[in-house]
Amino acid sequence: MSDDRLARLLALKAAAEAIADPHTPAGIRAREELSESTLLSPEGVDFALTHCLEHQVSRSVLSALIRKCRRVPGASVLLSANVFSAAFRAIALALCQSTRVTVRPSTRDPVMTRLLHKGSGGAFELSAALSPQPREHIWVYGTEATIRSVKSGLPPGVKLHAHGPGLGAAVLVESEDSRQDGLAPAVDALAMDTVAFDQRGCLSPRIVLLQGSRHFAEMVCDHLVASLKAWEGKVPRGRLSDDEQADATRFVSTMHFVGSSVSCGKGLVSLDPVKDRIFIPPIGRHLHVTVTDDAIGLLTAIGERLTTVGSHNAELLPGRLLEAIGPRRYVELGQMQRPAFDGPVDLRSGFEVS
Amino acid sequence: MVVDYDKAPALRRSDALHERLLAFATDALNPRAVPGPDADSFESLALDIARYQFDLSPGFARATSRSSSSLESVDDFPLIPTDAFRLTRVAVHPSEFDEAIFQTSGTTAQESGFHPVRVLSTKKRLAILQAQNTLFSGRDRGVVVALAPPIETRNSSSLGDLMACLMERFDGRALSPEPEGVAFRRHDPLRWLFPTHGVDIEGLRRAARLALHRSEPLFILSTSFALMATLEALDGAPIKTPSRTVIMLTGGFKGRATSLNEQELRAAAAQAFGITDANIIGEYGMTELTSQLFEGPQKGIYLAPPWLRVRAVRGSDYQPVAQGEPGLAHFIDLGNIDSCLSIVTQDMVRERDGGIELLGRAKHADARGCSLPFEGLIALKQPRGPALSSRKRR
Repeated sequence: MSDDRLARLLALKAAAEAIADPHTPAGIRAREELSESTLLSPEGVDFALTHCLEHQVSRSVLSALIRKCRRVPGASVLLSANVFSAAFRAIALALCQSTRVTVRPSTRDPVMTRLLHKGSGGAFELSAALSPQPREHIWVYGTEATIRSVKSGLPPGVKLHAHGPGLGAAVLVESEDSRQDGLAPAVDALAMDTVAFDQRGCLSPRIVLLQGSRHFAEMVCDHLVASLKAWEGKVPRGRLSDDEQADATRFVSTMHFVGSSVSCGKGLVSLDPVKDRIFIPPIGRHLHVTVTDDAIGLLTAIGERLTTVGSHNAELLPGRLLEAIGPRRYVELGQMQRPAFDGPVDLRSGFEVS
Repeated sequence: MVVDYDKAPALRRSDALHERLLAFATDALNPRAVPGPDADSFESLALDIARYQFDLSPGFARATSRSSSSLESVDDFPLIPTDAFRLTRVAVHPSEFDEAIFQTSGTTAQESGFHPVRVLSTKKRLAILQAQNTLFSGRDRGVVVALAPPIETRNSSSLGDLMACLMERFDGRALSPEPEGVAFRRHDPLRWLFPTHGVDIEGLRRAARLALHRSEPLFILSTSFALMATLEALDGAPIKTPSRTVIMLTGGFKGRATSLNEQELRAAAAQAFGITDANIIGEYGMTELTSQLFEGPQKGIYLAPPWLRVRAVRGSDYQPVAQGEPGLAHFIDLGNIDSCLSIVTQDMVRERDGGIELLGRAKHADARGCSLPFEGLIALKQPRGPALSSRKRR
C-alpha cells in the first residue's frame, strides 16, 4: 500500500485553512453551523477558528510528525463534543500513523468533522461506529465513562490512546518590582485563554493561583475583571446548556455569599478569602483565584486533572512541576489554548512513537 | 448559654426571634390555639429573620444585594447553596457563642461543611413539637433506640443529636426493666445499636423485649444503610416486637452498594419486624437545616412543619418550577435564625399533595467538551514546595 499520509495531511490542512477563512464558502458555512452546535456566540466561533484552529501548522512539522510515528494498518478516532477545533489535531495525528483513518464524530457536534471530511476530499473515513482490528490504534477523546466503555470493548491487540477530561491552571507570581511590569499584558492574555470556547476545553484555565501579597491579588483580580468585561464586548459568551447554567448559578450564588467575587460580563472572578484552597468553578468564564505561598504544592494536589499550566513571572515553575507531576503543557499565559503542534495536546497520556 | 447583651447586643434581637419562633411553632401545632391579633405568621417571622441576617451577616447581605432583593416578601429572598457551609462560616453570631457545631457528611474533611448552632434548645424544642405530631403521633412514651453509631460526647452529628433528643423526650429512662433510680444517659451504648463493628442484633432484641415487658411501643430510629445491614445480619430471622413498633428511616446509602431499593428495604423491614409499611416513617433532614420533614400518611410524601417552607426551583435560575415539576429543594427554615434561613440544596424534589416527593440528587452538567466537570472544593494546603521565582522577594 502506498504511503500517502503526507498528502492526506496536507489535504486536511487545506480544509482547515478554508474553514478558518471567513470569506470562503467553507468558512461561512462553519460559522453558521458551529454557533448552533457549540452554543458559542458567533464571535466565539470566529475567535476559535481564527486563533485556536491549528491550520497554520507547517508542512515540515507534519512531515516530522509522520517520521516520528510508527505506521500502523489502521487508526480510529472517537471525538467528543466541542472543543470543536480539536478535531483537526486529533484527525491529523491519526493520519500521521495510517493511511486508513476512520473517525466517529461527536453525535452532539459533528459539524467540524464533516466540514474537514468534505474539504479534504475524504482524507479520512466517517463512520457512526468504530471497529478497530488487532495491531491498529484508536484515539478516544471523551469522558472517563466513555473511555472505560470503549476500553472494555476493544479486541486484544488494539492500542488505545485515551484523552480524558482536564483543566488548566494559571500561576502568577508577584514581582519584586513594585510597578509589576508585564503583569497587565499577562492578565489580559489569561483573559483571552479563558474566553476561548467559553472554558469548555481541557486546556482552559479555571483556577488562578497567585503567589504574593493580598494587594497583588486584588490588583490581579481587578485587572482580570476589567479584561474579561472588555472581552465580553468583543467576544460575548455564548449560551450555556440548562445543566451548565445550573452549575453556574450554584457557583455564582455561593461565591456571592462567601465574598470577594465580581461579575464580569456573564462570568465571574472569585477571590477566595481563604489561602491555599482550590475550588474548581464550572465552565462559562468563571475563574477562582487563590492566594498561596505554595503553588507547586497545590498544583501537585490536583496533578492528575491538570493538562496545562500557564504562568507569569514563575520561571522555575515548569521544571519543578515536571518533576512533581510529569509532563504537561507548561506555557506562557495567552498560549494555553495554542499548544505546540508536536503530538497530542494532552501530554498526560503520552504518544507512541517508533 | 446566658448571653451578656452588653458584649453582644445583636443577640438580643436573635433571642427575641427565638422566643417568637417557639410561640409561633407551639400555636401552629395546637389545634385549640387561638392566635392573638399580634401573633406571628410564617411570613412575618421569615421577613424579620431575613432582615436580622441582612443586618448582621455580611454573606447574606451581599447575596441579598446581588439578587436585588428588597426583603419585602419571602418569595424575594436570595437562595444560598449549601456549598456555602463548606466554604465559610455561616453564622450571624461570633464563634464564642456556638453551643454546637454540626458537621456535614463528606468523604474527606475538605468536603465537609459546618453548621454552627447558637441555641440548641430551640432546635430540640422544634424537633419535639414536630415529632409529637408525626413520628410519635400522640404516643407519649416508648422504648427508643437508634440503628446508628453512638454519638460522641462532643457530638457533631445533627442526626445523632435529633435521635438523642427523641430518646430523651419520648423515653427518658434507663434501658432496664426496672428503670427507677437509674438515670437516662444519652450516650448509653445500649441505645446506639450500629457501632463501628456492626449491628448489635442482641441489643435490638433486648430493646424489643423491654418494650413488650413495658407494654409500650418500640421506636427504632435508623439510617437506611443501618437498616439494610440489620436485615442482612438477621438473615431472614424475625424480631418479635410490639405491634405498635415504629421505624424512622432516614438518609440514603451515600454511594454504598446495596442489594435492595428503598421500597424493597421497607417491605423487608416490615416483614422482619412484624409491622405494616404504615409504621415505617421516612425522615428528611440535613445538617444545614434546623428543622426536618417527616413522611405523612401518604407514603413517599414528606411534610414540612409550619416553620419550614419547601419549594422546587429551577437549577438554572432558582425560579419556582411549575406545580408538579421536579426542581431543586429550596428551604426557608425559620429555625436557622442564627445561620441562614434561605437554603437551596442539590436534592431534587417535586411538590405534591401538600408536601414534597424526594427524587434524588441533581446531576452535574454533562461535559460538552473535554473540560473537567464542576467539582467545587478539591484541595487545601499541601506540603510545601520549592520557591517559584529565583529573584528575591520583598
